[in-house]
Formats: sequence, structure tokens, C-alpha cells
Amino acid sequence: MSADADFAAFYDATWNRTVACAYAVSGDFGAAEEIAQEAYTRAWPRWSKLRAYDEPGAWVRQVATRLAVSRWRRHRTALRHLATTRGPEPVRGPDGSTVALVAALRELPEAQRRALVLHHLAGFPVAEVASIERCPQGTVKARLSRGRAALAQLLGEGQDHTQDHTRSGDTAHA
Amino acid sequence: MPELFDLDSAFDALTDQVATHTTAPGAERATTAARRRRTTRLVGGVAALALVAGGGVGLLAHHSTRTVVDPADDMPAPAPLSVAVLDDVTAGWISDWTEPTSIKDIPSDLNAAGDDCMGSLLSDEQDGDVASYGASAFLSGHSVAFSRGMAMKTEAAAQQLMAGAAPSSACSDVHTSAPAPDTELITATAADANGHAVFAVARWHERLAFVGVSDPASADPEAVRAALGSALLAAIQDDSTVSVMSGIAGAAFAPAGTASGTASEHQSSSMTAPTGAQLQQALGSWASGFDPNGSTTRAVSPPSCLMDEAASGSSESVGNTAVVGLSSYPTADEASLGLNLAAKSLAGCGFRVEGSWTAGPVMATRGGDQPMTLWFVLAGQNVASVQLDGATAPPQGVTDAVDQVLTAAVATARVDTSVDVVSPPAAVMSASTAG
Repeated sequence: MSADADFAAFYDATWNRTVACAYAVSGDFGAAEEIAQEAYTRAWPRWSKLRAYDEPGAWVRQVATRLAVSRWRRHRTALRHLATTRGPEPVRGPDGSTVALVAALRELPEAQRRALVLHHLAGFPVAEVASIERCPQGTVKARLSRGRAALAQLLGEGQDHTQDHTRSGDTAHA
Repeated sequence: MPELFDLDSAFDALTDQVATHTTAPGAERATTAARRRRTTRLVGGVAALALVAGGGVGLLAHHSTRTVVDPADDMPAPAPLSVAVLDDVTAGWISDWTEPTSIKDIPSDLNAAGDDCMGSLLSDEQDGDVASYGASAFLSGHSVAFSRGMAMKTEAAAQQLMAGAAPSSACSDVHTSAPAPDTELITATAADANGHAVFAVARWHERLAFVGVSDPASADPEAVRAALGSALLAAIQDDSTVSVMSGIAGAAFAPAGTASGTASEHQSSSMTAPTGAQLQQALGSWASGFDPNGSTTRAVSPPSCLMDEAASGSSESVGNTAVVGLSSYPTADEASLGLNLAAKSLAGCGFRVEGSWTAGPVMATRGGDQPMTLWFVLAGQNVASVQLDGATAPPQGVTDAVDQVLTAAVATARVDTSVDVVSPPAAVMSASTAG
């Protein structure tokens, strides 16, 4: 299979989850698609190396998640500035595609949301999340635990939510 | 996880739901964009304009006052690289060269050949050693030619850079010669999946020049190797090679009061630059050497490797060691391409580049003798940047704070489409190169 065809197959197989990662962080579906496409654009020049990885999709999801976090920060900063200098500006609100989970995620502190998305959606083990976030594994576990608890509360399902539930086997998601 | 709240399942469901809403642009679009960025880097990398300085490099070039050295008798007569010269040099291989005046003129599927060979021929220069620049780029269908010239402050600096030009195994037909006193020439050819290319690098006294020609069709560039080398020796003796940025390089910036043939295509954007106090607050105690009220104590010039070909804008010195740049591109797409180019250029000359121009900020840092940190924030077609001399490796908190300051700056952008000629104010340009 040619590199182009191989990459296209990889793209098609992983696109949905990559968009989901960006969407879960940013809460903006349109932005999530742009971010995902950017992640694949960055993947292509490295494809000769990435294709040899066990899970090249993890690389793309990590890039997408980081891009989404950065974009979210910038958007927040811009809105704050506009709010102080130009009065209220229309904010791109949730559209029909927004689901309760994403809305709840947006209520979480950024670090908790990032940890949840990286671990549960992007599929990174706790150790890898800790490496990405440059913090101890214990901190990641705490963020996951608190994030899950807060998420469960926000979703109205607060029962038994304080247990530590990392992904089964703590392995990267396929 | 309890059945009542299975987060993994919830995320799986989210992914499934995404699948019902999303329309993937497609892998081909991603690969095309990636290839275009690479080509843009290749072409734009030699068609140099400074993004941070907003014309500072152009001003350096404009004010170049080099003392011309008489050419040696056995050198070709001075002549700038031009469409006519290229037509002669590549006769029988490539014809009908044109000089692009906009990044839009570059075919989106253009992929220049010989990148690996070219990389080994171009050494990284130290910013402080460069007195002036020149650059040009030419197109003929999917063939591309590009040149870059530099006048170094000393001949020793030029000799050192030339010594660093070491043709790699990706180069073929390598010829090294000393055609005249104080003159060195290396020519080489290369072939890869993108086609065939021929390169020449020359030093003449304190000047350095490079030219590359790439064509996707199967051909024998060896036939033009010697002719291209001779053309470069002619060009390097011409002052314009090391002082004029033409075509897409010269389009965006015109000297104040001078009309540009394509400047009317550009829009002008006004933004409110961050103040020294805002910068100081963002930098905190990390950049202890920054004095918002201090005078620029030395030349705060842009990194010579920071190149762009499509931006217009301005810059100003802030405090003693900072330069704030505000740039605007004709479109958001070109802004993204331009920042991609800037990041690639910086990464290629010793900067560590982090971040994303899609979801900024982009930060570039380097240590060594000339430590420097740059931040860029992109919003639509507008870019705000800070260059801070004398400091490297900022903590994340500083980057976040600078990001906020720059994001606030680009948020003030108002595009003025009534301006026909984009001319960075002379006073601002002077400030960017003062010192």
C-alpha cells in the first residue's frame, strides 16, 4: 500500500475519535474539526515514522488535544479582553451537536478536563498523561478522580463516583 | 466503573455521535496542505522578509551601503539573477520563467526537489554577522528557482559560513572551485521523488549567495550546473543580490512613499501594540533584564532566519530589549501559511519552536551567545509578536501571560481596506532597526 493510501486509511479510521477529543476539550464542534484536520496535516510529513508506531492515532489525538487546549485558552482570553473593551460580544454557543457530556466537561477546571480527555478519550495511560502534562502521576490520578466526581455531579449521576477508575488495564485506547 | 456512570462508554458514545455530525475534509486535503507548507518554506525561505520587524530587514537592505569591490578579471560581469538570466541558464530544460508577486501565484501542489541536498548547502548564519539581505523567487509552471544573498559584516564570517556548506550524500555532481581570489563556488545536483534540482552556493569576499532550481519533470540538470554557477558568480557581484528582495519578497513592503506594483492587493490592519508596562507585567521576574522605560541599548534586529513573504505590518522597540510586531496578511489562510513559514525558518536556525499557529501561541527560544525568545499569536489574518533579546526558556506562566497580552493586541485589529499602498511608517521602521 502506498504511503498516501496508507495515510488515507489511517485518517478515515481515526478521524471520529480525533474530532471527539478536540470537541471534548474545546466544546466547539466546528473548531474541533479544524483542529483535527490540522493534526492530520502535521502528521503527514511525519507519516513515514508514525506509520511504524503501534498506535499512530494516539499521536494525532495528542496533537489535537493540545491544539484544542491552546485554542480554548486563546478564545477565553480574547473574549475577556473584548468584554472589557468593546462590551458584550456574541459568543459562539453550543449548537445542536453539543451533548450533555461536552457541556459538563466545559464546566470542569481545565486541568481536570484535559486529564479526562487525554486518558479516557485520547486513550493515554496515566503515566503518559503525566508526561504530557509534566506533572506526577499522582496528580493525574487526583485530577481524574476529581474530574470524574465533578462530571458525575454535573451529569446528575453522583453515586459512587469518587472511586478511582482509570481505564481497564490503564492501556492506551486503540 | 459503575454502570451508572461509565465514562469510557460515555466517551465512546460521544465518538459515535461525532461520526453522525462530522464531515471529514479528507486525507488528501491534509497531505496537500502539508506539501504546500513545505513548498512555501522552500520558496519563502529565500524570499525573505522579517515578520517580527515588519520591514526591519527590508530597511537594512534598503540602507545597505557596502563598498563595492572591483570584480576579478576572470569573473563574469556583475548581473542580477533575473527571468532573462534564468531563461538562458535553463535553456532546453525550463523556460518561460516569471517572477511571482504574491504567495497566491505559487501552485498549491508545488513540491520542490532536492530539499535534503539544499539543506546541507545552507549554513545557519548568526544574526549579528549579517549586514544586509537580498532574495528572489521565480516560477515556471511547477518549476521553481530561488536565490538568497547576504552581505556579512566581515569576510571571516562569510568564510566561516561557506566552510559550513557541506554537500550531503543527497547531492550529486558536486563541484567545488575557487574561480577567483577570495571567491568560492560549490555546485551540485539532486534528484528525489519531487523531481530534479541544481544548486549553487558562492562566496565573494564578504558576500554569500545561493541559488536553486527545481523541476518536477525528468531532466538532466547537470547540463545547466555550470551555467547556474556562473550566473551566481555574476549575481553575487551585483549589489541588488544582497540588498533587494524582489517579487513576492518585495511586494508586501515598499519603502515609505514608494508605490508597489502589488501592494494595492494588501489590506492594512491597525492594532494597538502592548505597552512596556503590560509586557513587564507579563514577563514578571523571569526577564529581569527587561526595562520597560529603558532605551534600546543595542540593535534589536530580527533573527535573520525569520522570513516571510506575504505580511505587511510594523514594529516598534519596547523598553530596552523587546520588539513588538503587528502584522497583517491579505487573508487568514496566508497568515497561517506565513506563520508556518516563520516557525519552520526559526526551527531551521537553532530555535526551539513550540506551540501552534492554529491555536497559538507559537513560542521560539534559543540560548547560546544570542539568547532570544519570540512569541507569536495569530488571529484571523493578523499576527502579534514579541521578540525579547537576552532571555530564553520562559516558564509556562510567562508564556501564558504574554499570550494574553498578544491576544488582546490582535483583538483590537481593525482592517482598513482603503489603503492602497502598504508602507510601514518610516519612524516605526527606523525604531525597529535603531541601535
